Amino acid sequence: MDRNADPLIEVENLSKWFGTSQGVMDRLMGNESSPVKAVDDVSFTINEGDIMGIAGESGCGKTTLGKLLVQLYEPTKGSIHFDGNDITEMSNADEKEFRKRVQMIFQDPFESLNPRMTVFQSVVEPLRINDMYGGYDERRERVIEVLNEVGLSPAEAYLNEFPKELSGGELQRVAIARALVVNPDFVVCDEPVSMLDVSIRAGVLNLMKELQDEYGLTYVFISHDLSLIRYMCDRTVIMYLGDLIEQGPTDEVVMNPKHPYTEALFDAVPEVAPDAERKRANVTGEVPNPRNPPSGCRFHPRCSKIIPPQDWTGGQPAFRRAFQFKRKVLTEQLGPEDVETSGQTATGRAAEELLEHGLSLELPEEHRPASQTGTTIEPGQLELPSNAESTLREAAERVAQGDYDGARDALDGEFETICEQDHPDLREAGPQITACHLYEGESRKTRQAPSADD
Amino acid sequence: MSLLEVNDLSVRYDADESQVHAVDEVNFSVEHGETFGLVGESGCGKTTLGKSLIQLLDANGYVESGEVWFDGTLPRWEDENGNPRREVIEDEQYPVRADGKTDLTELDDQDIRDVRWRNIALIPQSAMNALNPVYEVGDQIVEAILRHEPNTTREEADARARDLLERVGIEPERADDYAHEYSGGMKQRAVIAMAMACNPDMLIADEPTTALDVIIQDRILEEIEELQDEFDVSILVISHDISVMAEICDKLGVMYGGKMMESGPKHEVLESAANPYTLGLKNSFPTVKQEQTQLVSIPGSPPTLLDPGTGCRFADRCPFVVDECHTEHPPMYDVEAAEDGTRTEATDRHAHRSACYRVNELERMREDAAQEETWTETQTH
Repeated sequence: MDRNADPLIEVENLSKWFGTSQGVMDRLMGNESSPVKAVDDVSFTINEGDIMGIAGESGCGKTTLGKLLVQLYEPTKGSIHFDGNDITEMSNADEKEFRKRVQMIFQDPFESLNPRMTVFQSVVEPLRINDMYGGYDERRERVIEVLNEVGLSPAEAYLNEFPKELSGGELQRVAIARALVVNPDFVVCDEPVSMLDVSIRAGVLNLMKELQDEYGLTYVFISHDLSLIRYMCDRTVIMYLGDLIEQGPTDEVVMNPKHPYTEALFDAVPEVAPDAERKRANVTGEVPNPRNPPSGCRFHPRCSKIIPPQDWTGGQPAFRRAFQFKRKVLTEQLGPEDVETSGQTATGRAAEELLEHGLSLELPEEHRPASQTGTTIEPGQLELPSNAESTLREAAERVAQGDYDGARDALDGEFETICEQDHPDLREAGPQITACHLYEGESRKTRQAPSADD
Repeated sequence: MSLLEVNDLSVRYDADESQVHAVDEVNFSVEHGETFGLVGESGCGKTTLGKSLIQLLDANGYVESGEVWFDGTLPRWEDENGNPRREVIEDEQYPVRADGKTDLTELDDQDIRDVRWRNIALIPQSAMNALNPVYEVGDQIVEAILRHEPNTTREEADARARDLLERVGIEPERADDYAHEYSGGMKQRAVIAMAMACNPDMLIADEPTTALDVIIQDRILEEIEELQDEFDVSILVISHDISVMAEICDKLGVMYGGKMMESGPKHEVLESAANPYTLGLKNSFPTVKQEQTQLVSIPGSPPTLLDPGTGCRFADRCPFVVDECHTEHPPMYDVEAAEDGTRTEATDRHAHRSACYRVNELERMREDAAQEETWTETQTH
């Protein structure tokens, strides 16, 4: 990897929202459209000759981002510069040139190759469309050359095969050949090996690495499989619900993650070595609905490191629990039916049980304090300031009587955190940049995307 | 005494004139309370093997030969202590052995239903889609309990269903919800709760976490481990993901082309692999946090199992192939003896075993397998 390479792709404040239009019913009913922000205000740079990984759980927007980069989607906002030119404002002639320099490899080779075209027809098509290599003979020669390079040799034996006659590994090699035949500069690979068997994967991955040197390629490698990201990528972007939350050199991101989500993500990957000591991921709940994402930092409802307000005198774990309690009450997830004692006849007892239940978190055993047994925890064992505890108890009493409005009033203005109120900006944190309020003091990196030499 | 004993099991699928040899003479045992992992690539027969144990094969699939001895029997063949009655054991017409084990392959469609769920429960592949969308989740569990324990009242069954859901981390009142109101991880938990409904002795978990995101997978794996501790249930896990297997299993069986290639305690199979296929598989599997090494793939692609030839199934892709490999598929050899250079067939099916003729040259094989050239120089198609 060339450390002083020039940026090839510069992405600035890129957003892609789906479902922004209002339907007739919405207009009649006066409903606002609530778009899904698949990619929201993302900025980064990819240097020439790098392999940039994009990782995250399903629904985090990684495929959308990949498709934006090759202009398969129009961005809602923001810009993408490819080699200095804004690709969102290209003339037709420029776009033709751009399409030649940028290619994509899709997830499923069984689906992405036309079953009625032979290998030769599939691979030669980009050459015909782009009007490259004079006549038929030169094109045929080029196709044979590329097929040999992707390991389908002797190429002549493959030219007239149909996709159904080839194995998955061979098909994905054809797909790679089709992308490389036009000699591109930039290739976006969306889960290129996830449909392949383990014993075949490594061959395709190594091939992609070899071809990178040969063609001087820049790759974007999109995958949910974090061990593949580690193996392939120089730099990695981690996404969560459309947000870019961390990016940096892959080794640093994996071994020394800055964002609590990144840490949880890599903790959760099982290891092949049977004795590997592994921490389980310290998060609660699951990824929320992207149509209605949480305010502030989108990860805050699940985060283990949620930041207490300045005047909080208790412990941080206690704040996390108190905050979760408040959330459960506001969303009415916690109610009188969760406890055995009736709130109408024995309010005090019911409130106590609600408190014990609501303050407990559903966490892996190693992250549970000893005072939590199953789904209840002793509030006295937490480092809760006494005024906080009485606020919680008051809210619990209201909930026990089914009075959610009263409970909301009691909790109003309490247990507030910057994580819920403000969306964090990207900041430098060591060699990475991350969007987390924990790194508040560091310099902002909102506009300026990093280069490879920082 | 082991809970499950699979002897020379062969499963075939009819495909026009020929047969697919999906599982071929597989032997293994699962102990009480143990987690046994079947690992292999797609098409190696691991799911077929799991399904054949409780006769859930597709219409064109059938058990060609072999036995599946299970420690447990039908309710109507039991005495009051839950053991098979003497006259059942002695009567030839019942497939029950002197040690009380029943051959599941011999049971008819009606009888096997009494074994499913009560003795052996299945967590199917894509459990996310295994719930009925038009029934409340709780009712689906109740249905299972009432079918297998007819003496239970509906109220008792309902209370048990709620209990089970709570046990796997779902609020009991969510029993009244429909599957679409559950998130992906909750559906997976609900399916696990459902499998535990009749307190089975054994669970067959087919790719229990494959469709899940990594953080949810982490939680489900913990859930499975906790369940096992609590109920002392044996689990047969089927997965292609070695890292998941390395984490939850006690023993592993590596399958390839319908054959069991290597089996034994997890540590021995993973740390001192003794079969060329296992060695190759390990070379091609990336790790996330450990030192990064060059991945090496196994040349060629898995065999089609349509009327396979004689000889070792892996021979076409194996860098260590010799003439003997083409004669017949190798039997399982004892690895401990092989470490000292002797080739003897394994007698203890719980020990580390490997099906390879060159098992007595282990040290050299392991050394060579670690070299990338070994795998790149055998180009086969």
